[in-house]
Amino acid sequence: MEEIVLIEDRPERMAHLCNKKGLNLEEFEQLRIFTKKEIESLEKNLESNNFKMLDGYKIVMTHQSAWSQVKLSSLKDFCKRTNKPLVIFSGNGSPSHFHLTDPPILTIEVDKFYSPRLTLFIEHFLKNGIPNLLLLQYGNKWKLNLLMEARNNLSVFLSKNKGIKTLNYYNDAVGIPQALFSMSEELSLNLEWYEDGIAENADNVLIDLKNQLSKVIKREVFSL
Amino acid sequence: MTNLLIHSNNTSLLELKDFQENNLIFKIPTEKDVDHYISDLITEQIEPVNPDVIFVKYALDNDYLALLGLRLAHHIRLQNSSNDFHNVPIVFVGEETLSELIRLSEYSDILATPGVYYVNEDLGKVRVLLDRIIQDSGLKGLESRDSYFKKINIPAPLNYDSRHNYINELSLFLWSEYIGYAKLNNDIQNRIRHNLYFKYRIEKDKIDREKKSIGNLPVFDIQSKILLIDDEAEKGWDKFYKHLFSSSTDKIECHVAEFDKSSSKDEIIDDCMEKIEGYKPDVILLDLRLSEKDAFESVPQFLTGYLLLEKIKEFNRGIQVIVTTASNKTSIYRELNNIGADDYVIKNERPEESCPNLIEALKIAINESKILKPIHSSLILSIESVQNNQLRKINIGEDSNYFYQELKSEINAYLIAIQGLISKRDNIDRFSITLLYMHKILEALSDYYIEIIRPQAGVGSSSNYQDSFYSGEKTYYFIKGHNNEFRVIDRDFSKPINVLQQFYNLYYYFTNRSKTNLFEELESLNSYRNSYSHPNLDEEFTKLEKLYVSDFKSFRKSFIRQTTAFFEYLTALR
Repeated sequence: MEEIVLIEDRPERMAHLCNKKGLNLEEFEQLRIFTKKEIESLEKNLESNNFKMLDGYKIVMTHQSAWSQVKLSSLKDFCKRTNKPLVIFSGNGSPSHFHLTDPPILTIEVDKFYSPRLTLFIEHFLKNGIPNLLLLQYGNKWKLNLLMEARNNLSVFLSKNKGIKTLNYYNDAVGIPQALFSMSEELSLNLEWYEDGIAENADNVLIDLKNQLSKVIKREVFSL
Repeated sequence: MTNLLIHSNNTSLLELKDFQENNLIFKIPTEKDVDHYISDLITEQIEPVNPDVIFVKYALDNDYLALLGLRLAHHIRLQNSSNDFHNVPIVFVGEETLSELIRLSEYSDILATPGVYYVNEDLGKVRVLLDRIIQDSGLKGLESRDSYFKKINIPAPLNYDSRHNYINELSLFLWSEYIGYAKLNNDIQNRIRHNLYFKYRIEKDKIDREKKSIGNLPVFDIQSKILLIDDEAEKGWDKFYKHLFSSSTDKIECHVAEFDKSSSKDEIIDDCMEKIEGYKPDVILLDLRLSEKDAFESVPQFLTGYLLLEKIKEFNRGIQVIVTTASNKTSIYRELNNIGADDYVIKNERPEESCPNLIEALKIAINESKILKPIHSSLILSIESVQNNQLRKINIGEDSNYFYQELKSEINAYLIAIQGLISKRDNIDRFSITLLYMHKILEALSDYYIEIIRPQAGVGSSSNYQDSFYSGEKTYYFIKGHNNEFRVIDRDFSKPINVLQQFYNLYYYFTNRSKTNLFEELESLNSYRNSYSHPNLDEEFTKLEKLYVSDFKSFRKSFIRQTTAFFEYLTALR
């Protein structure tokens, strides 16, 4: 069953970049690629704001140049309405950015999009059913983004709560991203205390966790 | 004292009353790209506050690896402000270490520039810093942007497609600025205004550039038709050239070739050739990348502009082609030279070098086209005519074919040699040798026709002549000479006629006409040949190449007349 749609108005460039980066998108049966012919049909339907052609897909990935500004805005509305993560790639030289909307939107540079990250992203989605746009944005570095977010949030918490002795899981939002818990073992992070809360010397435990995060971040940064 | 904090609700500094009113939430809306958003944020919300110190988080908008705080700081430094806003002290806030920042971001070099400070998420330490700011009446900002530019480098996008576009658009903006044209289209103006790389390139050498504007627009004093072939023409290159020629509108006509860059290379070439064949331009300004497919072309010879150049030169080598490209691959220029590009100008961010080069290239090309276009046009026709056996064949028995083939080979060789030689600007004798070759062709024609036109009667008396030719005041006769040679003598039968008289007679023989103007030019060609081959030390002799440089208009008049006479003569002998 086709689950992801890739809308590409410049198939020659796609072929060139895939060839250059060693990508074989044809291996994914679940990926449907719309090129000129399908885009023309799509555009005709769009005149009556009809996105039926995209209804069946769970993720929409599109080249920005395939759309006028107005139509791109309609596409964003459609994805929002139907809860489909949207990836917009372009060669306009602006850096990639992950918009933490619901559903998320990723704007990404075209040469980063057509890279082994795309394969990682598709494989990850097909295996877990989770559209991890960070994986597409940062490739294998995506966990580093979570680690840095965790360290920042922890530091903010510690700065606001200097000398805190007890920590209640329900009341005190330390701000460790949920996704990090499933990876704590892999990353050698001690997060066992988290759901139980901390009865005493919470500040020391949190400072220790912050140090652990910093070590893992350093390791990850220097392994890039 | 205003200390402004820029954050994404990811900092403890909001606890401090100093920032409770003076803070901005950084959140990029989905309809804006990163640089556009940052640029607008600075212009609309940060600069108007005129903050004394800006505190900014390294990480903004949940994107920790992007370290957008560094990007924002570069934008502030590159802001085109009338006051000293861009020198404002910047305090980075976050847990990121210097080594992490260097490793993760290509924009971290701002941390090594003056006027930049950093502080952790630690309210106590930030309080101390704020108190110090109040006591010392602020932090020290950047003293001059030079100290910033010395330490930083904003990299160009790596993506080839956008790199090409960047250089093209940047050149368009800077070149337009250099010639005083300020009405670029909105898309480009927006990109130039917002994109970090553009801002960097534009601000970096701004002061130097302001000192080096063109002054007066160039004046072109020879009538010329110019064709622009550039897929980016409508982005503003068409208007750039229109402005460049605006002081010479009575002389220069500039058209733009229209084509669809998403078409196939062949279709683009066909569309452009149709325009060239109809418009017959003197000079073509040609970009190499005309098709979208060219963005991925690694072999220069397969670029659409390159393929088109070959077609243009097949059509008329005299049309002058100036290649204008954003590519900096020198191998391309060697190749272009091999297939006949006459000049090239690189689109780059140094208009003070490139624009004078472009203007000089245009002036030379206009001059060259006025000479070469008509000559190449006649050369093509003459070569075709010779190769297709259109010269008149004289029947002299069983050797007829042999002599005719010899004549044909000789003339063809000279014409081909002229075709190759005359466009070679680096050959210091190209015009002289062209005329000498033309003279050689006239001599070959005389030798062939005069030796084989046999009078019927005997030798040595007036009754022997068979044919007569009239030129000017004289009548000449063919007569059979000694050893069965056939010569032309004038009426008193006393001496053979000179080569010039032979030319006259042949022309009369073929056309039954005597054309004074034509003969005057042939005489002039002959006398140039004699002066060149047998210089007379007592008389001053000006080589054509010298005249080309010192008095182009006289050169053009004389050279075109002589070559036109030559081709007319050659055409008559059919």
